[in-house]
Amino acid sequence: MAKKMNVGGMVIVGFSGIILGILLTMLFSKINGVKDLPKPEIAEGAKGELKIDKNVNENTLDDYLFRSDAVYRDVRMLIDDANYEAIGGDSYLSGFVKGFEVVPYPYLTKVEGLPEAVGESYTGPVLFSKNEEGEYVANYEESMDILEALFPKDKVIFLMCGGGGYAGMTKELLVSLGWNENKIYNTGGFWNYQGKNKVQVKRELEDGTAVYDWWKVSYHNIDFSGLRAKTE
Amino acid sequence: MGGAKEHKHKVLWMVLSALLFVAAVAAGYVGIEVRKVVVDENREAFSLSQEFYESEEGLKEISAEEFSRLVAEKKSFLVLGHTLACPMGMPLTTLVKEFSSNHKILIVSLDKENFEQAGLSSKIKYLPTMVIYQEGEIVKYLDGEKNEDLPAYKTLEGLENWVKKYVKI
Repeated sequence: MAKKMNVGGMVIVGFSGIILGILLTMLFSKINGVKDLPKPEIAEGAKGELKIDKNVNENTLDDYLFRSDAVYRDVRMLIDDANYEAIGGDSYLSGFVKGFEVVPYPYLTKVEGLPEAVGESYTGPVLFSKNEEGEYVANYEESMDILEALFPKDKVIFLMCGGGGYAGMTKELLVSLGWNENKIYNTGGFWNYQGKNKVQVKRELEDGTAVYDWWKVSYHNIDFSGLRAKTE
Repeated sequence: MGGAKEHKHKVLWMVLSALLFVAAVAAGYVGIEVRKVVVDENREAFSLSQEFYESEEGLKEISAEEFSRLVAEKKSFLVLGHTLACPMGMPLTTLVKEFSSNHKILIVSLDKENFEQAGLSSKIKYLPTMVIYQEGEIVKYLDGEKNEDLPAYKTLEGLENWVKKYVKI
């Protein structure tokens, strides 16, 4: 009887120790505020079609904000030329996640694959174009310098847009130009964001008119008029 | 001596119980979520509440309050949960409209704000989605993170096949 009780006691102590260890680990990571970054991995299902990350996305993004080793880029335009309203979307950057700075993907390269109902996005100058082999080539002498300044290679890069499409295409562009794919996360779309760091840009006046507080947005403009076109 | 050992045993059990309780509270604090939707894949297809058949209304946008009334009244119905549409994303909203029109089934629709207010976003993380209710309880929903649900997101046939597994059309 005495031996049985000792074994039972040891089992209880052991189990208690395991639970205590797990609790302390969870509590420590929560207090520290720094969550380890999982390796980028594309989600399954409909989310995966947009190449949104399985682990670092609209549902979990708050766990990874404000890191000193990262940059956060929202790759929408402030007002997109495409008519996204035609398919139930939003051509305006009506809000964004705190910490994200805007670098419009349509300024980086031509937007392709939009539904007919939406029409074309921005059709002006772009930093890179695709050649006949489908490779991205710089249109300006400064193209790569600008891209590296906006998306530093020594940082983790978090990308976001409205639904995840532009962000996925931005990652594809960067990786094809030599960025490390394991340092870039397509975190999906602001329209699905469920966290606590929303910054609202659009508001309605009393008469129902929509106005946009653009002053809230950290926006990286690219003035193509001062760039030197690459010659063959 | 036996009394001292019994006392020690009791103390150990109390410590374990306390730790288990704290673990349960901590699980809630750090956001470990247990989805409560239980799906029986072998269940027979059921009928929606009568008012949802033979309808010309198609897709009807409702509020969280109206939705809650349907649940409280234990209705059987279909819900589209949607947010703003990505042009590169799945055409689910368009497919649901077509499905509704083709089969004359009234499908209620909740935008993201009302979806959250209705308490659905704690269970269902990705929009768009379609949710099937039977007598006020969720039977099944389209999960944007599952490959098995992808056909329903992409084509009308895929959506119809998915709905017909659970609902009499």
